[in-house]
Amino acid sequence: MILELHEKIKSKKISALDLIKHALKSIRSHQKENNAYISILDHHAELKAKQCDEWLSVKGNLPNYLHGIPFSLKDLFITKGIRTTAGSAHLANYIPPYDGHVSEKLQSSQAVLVGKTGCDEFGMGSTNENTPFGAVSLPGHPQHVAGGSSGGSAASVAEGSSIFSIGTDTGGSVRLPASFCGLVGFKPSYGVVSRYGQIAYASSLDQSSPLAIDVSDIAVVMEELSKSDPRDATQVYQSKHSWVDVIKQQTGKKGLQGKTIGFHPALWNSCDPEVQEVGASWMKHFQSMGIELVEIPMPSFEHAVATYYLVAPAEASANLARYDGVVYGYRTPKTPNLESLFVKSRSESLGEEVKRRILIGTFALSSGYSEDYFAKASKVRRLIWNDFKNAFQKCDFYFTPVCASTAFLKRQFNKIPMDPLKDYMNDIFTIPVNLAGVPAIALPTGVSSQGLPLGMQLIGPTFSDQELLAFARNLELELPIDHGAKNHWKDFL
Amino acid sequence: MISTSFQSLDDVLKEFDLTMGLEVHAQVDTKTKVWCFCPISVGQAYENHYVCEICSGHPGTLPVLNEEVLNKAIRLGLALEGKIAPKINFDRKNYFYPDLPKGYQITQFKNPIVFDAKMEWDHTDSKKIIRIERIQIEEDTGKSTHHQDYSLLNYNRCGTPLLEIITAPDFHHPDDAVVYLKKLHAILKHLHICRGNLQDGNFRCDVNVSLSPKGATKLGTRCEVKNLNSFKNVEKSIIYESIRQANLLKSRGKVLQETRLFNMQEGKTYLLRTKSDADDYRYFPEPDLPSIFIASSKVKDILSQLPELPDQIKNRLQSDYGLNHYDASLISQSFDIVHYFEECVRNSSDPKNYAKKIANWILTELFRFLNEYNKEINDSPVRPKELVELISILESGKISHKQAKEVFAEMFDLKKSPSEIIASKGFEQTSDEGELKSILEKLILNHPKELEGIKSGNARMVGFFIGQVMKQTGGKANAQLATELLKKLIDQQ
Repeated sequence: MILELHEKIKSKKISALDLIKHALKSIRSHQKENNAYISILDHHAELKAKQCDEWLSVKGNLPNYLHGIPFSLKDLFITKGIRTTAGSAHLANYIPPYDGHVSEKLQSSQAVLVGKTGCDEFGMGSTNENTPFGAVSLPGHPQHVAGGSSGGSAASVAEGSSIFSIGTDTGGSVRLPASFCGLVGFKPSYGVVSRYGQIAYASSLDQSSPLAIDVSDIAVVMEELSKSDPRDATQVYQSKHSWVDVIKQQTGKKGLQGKTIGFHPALWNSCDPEVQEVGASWMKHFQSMGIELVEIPMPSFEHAVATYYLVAPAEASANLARYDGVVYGYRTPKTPNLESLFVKSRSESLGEEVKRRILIGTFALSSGYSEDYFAKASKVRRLIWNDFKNAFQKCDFYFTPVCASTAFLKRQFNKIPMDPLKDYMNDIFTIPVNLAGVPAIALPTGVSSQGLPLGMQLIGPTFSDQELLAFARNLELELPIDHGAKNHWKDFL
Repeated sequence: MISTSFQSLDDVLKEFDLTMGLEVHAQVDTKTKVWCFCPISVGQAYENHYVCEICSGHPGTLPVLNEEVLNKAIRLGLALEGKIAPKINFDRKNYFYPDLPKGYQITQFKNPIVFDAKMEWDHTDSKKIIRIERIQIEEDTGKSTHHQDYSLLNYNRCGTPLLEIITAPDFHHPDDAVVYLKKLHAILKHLHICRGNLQDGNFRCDVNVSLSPKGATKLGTRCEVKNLNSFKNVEKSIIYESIRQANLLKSRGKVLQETRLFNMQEGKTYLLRTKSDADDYRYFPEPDLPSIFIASSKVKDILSQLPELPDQIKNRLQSDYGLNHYDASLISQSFDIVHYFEECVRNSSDPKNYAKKIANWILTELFRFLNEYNKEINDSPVRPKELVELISILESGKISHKQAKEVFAEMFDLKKSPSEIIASKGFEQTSDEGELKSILEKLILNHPKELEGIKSGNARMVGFFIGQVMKQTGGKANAQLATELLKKLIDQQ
């Protein structure tokens, strides 16, 4: 869709300001109900849009596809001079003194940032309810959550107030909300996008991940995100081709024929019947298009959630140690000594789920327990990686659901009491991907009988990101994929 | 009540074996900090001037290793005959303190860059060998200063690279600890790894001290004395700690494991914290810094560029130039002095004969002036070529030793060549045999009485004739030559 809008802007059929005004209008009409944003940057956005239009009239050309395109950033991305909260009370007034990679690259490509979106505090959650800034609703379904932790990002695209958004995916935090909101969510291989300026939750799992209306837009955004950044030593990937070229060379059926997709029935049995049905119908489509299906078991998957909830909290316990109230962030008003300054500043400003994970992580790393928990989890992580390695010797991509169900009811509408362990199981299909560092894409498949969107996941081998996107793009052209959110922009297309 | 039956180290050593291990923190002399591009703050600087978002631990920032630090660590490892790890990792050491803005220190726990190194020296009739177990790369912390009801933090030092050099418990006398530290300090300075200014905290030492009954195989409980920044303080704190522990063992039968601080003014150690609640640093691999594989070609390169070490130079100076042990050790204390010395020798016509004289001039006159003018030898206005010229003139007998010193002073002040100064001062001695002979012949003729005096054995009369020669030549005569000529003339009569 971005490529089409780009042509329209270039030929002056529409202006950047028109797009931005439309985006801001959507924010105004949906913010109360959906609560997608923590900070709305209307003045900033209008100013930027005017500058974009001026550029075009003065220079007569557009250097970048993202020129004038409205987008949003999960509030976990550092934006210089713009409040960045990480969805936490601790950083409620934190204004970063520097710009992160994602913000820098997108803004220098002249995309227009319209707001910072809501998320679970520090990315810890899958419902976007673990934050003092309030839950985010699934657009059109006020009793349901948009998913998490990048719920605000997903809602912003689904409600039509931004054309794409960047979230972070540590255990499914982009793919799950994308699936709940009927969008495309892409988690690149670990090491493709610089994490500089992305507030860390679990450093070895976190990856900036775009959400958009279609696969083509994902590729356009990846062109910017994947640019190399010497400030992140773990960003080791170098793009082989231009990402946009990969998409432009779409081959439809020809690009699908002869490919092999792995799956396993055991992974589907526990899902809601409707999820199983959609999965089965997609597999039928695959076969009809000449894609070979192979049953490949993933024996270590059942340990993935347990492994994740040791590795991620362990890293988080160190990553969040800096929120001690000394240099920045919340500091408790008056304390008798240093220890109580630390304890109170942290206790008073961090949320329940964050505290729970810090405690789990601190325990998992403690002397006497570290071998049994953290070290063992690191070994199991290797087994999960091996499962993928073995699978990709037999198939090109691996097919799973994103989630066993459609979007959840908000806690206040749910009769079942809150159970963190049950919540953790929501990410059973997405977590193995982060533990192995491989790329995965969540694709929308249409809506359930209740009208709630559903999504399917395709996983590829490490650094097959461009091949995976090309394949997903061809699928998108051939399959009856619902791009409902596109309707918001129909006046401009 | 602690009994004070032990008053001196000698008392203690009669009953106990003293055992110590040393940990040195040497700040690496690099242009920039270890994880970011902030310059290293040297000497006086405004508080928090050399600070960026990375070294002050802002959310979203990441470390990238400064390769200069790695190279210097390898250099030190090779100089100390250590093994260089083929693969290194970094780890997080977790603890809360305001001078540590991330809430963890990045250090090397599992795979340090250097292991199994050593330091050797001759000790009366045996050889001392100290095992250096490991050398690890880590970051320095900031500095806190505590006031009545507030504390101030300065992060200039935060992220300054450190090498931590850890020995086995191989020390049994404070003298050995001091020799080791001085030798290590000299090597660090000589290899330009560390600036080595003790008063600036470039080189700091922690000592682990324990006592065990004489001949016991099991080591006693140790106490760690932290942050000693002078050789004298290391010695004093070891002596104090030995006596304190001996008295504790006598009166209570045990020493508690503690971390202690040395108070310079009082010459005593004070309890900082007990280790009963065993510090749990919850080490785990630093996920932001990938493993680094050290190529053997890199190690070879660094080895080939390793200069001669102080001990090797000292031996060579003695064997090649016949310098005595004392002069050789003074010259070999700095590579710059060695360079200056050898440059002088190269410029001299008769190296074998001149080397000792050159050493003498460097260690007396040159050092005296450098000290007085607070200059380094590289900035000496008297260059090696000129110093050798002066020594040659002196040796040829043209000027006296006293005059040579005067000339040297002017060379240093006026930066003129020695011959220029000698000419302008009219110092040149008359060594013209013909001229001296004719003066002497006339004197002999005119002073028969004095001549008789010499002949009858009155040596004082020689002085009379030479005095007259000096008078007639305006003090320029070469006294030695004149004496010889006088003897010849008398013998001929």
